[in-house]
Amino acid sequence: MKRHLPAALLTFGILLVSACSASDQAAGPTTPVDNVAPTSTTSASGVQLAAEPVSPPELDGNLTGDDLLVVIEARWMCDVQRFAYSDLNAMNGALTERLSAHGFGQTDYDTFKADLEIRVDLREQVLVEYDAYCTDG
Amino acid sequence: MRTRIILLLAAILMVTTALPAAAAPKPDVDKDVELTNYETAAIVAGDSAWIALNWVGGGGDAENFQLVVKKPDPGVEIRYPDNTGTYTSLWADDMLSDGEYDFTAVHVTVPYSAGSDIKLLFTLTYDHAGKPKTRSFNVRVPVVQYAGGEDLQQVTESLGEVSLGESAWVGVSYAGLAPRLDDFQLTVTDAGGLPIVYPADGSSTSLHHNARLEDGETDVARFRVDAYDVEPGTYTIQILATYRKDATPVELTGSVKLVVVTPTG
Repeated sequence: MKRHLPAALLTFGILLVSACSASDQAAGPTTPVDNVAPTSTTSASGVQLAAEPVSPPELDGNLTGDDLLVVIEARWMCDVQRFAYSDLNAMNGALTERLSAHGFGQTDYDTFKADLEIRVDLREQVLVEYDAYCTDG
Repeated sequence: MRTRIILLLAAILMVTTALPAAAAPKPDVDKDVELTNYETAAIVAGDSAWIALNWVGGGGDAENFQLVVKKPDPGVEIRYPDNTGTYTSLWADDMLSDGEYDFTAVHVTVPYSAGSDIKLLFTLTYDHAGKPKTRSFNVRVPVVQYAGGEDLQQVTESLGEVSLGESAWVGVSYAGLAPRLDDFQLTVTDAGGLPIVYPADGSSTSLHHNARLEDGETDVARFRVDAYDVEPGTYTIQILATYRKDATPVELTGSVKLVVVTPTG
């Protein structure tokens, strides 16, 4: 994906958004929030809303680098639509949790997403993994 | 670089993908942008939550990606991320590339009075090959009722129709309300004479993604109905969901309707 803001502005944005943990930032043409701790809130009806999946799905331990990020990306794109989130920080925290569980940070993910923009083979791998993991039936 | 294989893969994927429940994707002639989930995660009546709609690009870049909800039902409130304000866009940025997945987040408040699922009409605008495009998508948001103390709730009440003489995989969706429920299994205790088959010819079925249901998660348990040598009509299928809450085994009974219809023509 193309980045629309210079790195310095993105960094500033990350710091600003991180400072405003209660606000609903993230979707849209800005960078996702980095290093936001997952949150969990109780709704008006008393239901404990999901902050994130309790444990990231187990992946093939032999995967590394882009191959591992391909699997994480495909499964994240599938799983995110199955959950209701109390706030956007919780949504972003769910991804952060998955990344950190496999030794990746937000910078690694941003680099991977940028590579997806220019590498057809990576997008094909995500499509295949998404299909295998998420397809009905 | 764009390749034909990406287009083919995306097209095949969209034809075969439907999540999280049994709702089939609507016919869609435009393949440059595809919505993969016409049914979202469930929301409790009286509650509000962020839900995600997942998209995949299928033919060139879709730029300036903007999504809004048109005329929600009374009592249903819609909110978008603060940084976009009057619409929502993709999580990473505002462009969906060919063969790329990304999602949009929308905040939905469901009134306490909501007695059934709500439908949202989304209008999507984007630029494709330099030309503005507008698309509309109907999306179902399952609504569950919270009575207190529940671990999970059955979302699906009707399995729809199956033609006489055919078999069909059907799904019962569940929304998790407790933090973590393990070893989820579903069995049909009484199908009113309808033959039931479980995946891998097993004695029960589990959830599609895994046997764990978490709070805020909606997942579906599937089984096959063989509508051979049965009478047309409406069947009430009794079901039993079992799961483990920490170390405690728990059971939840329920039922779903299924209609066996005589094929026309």
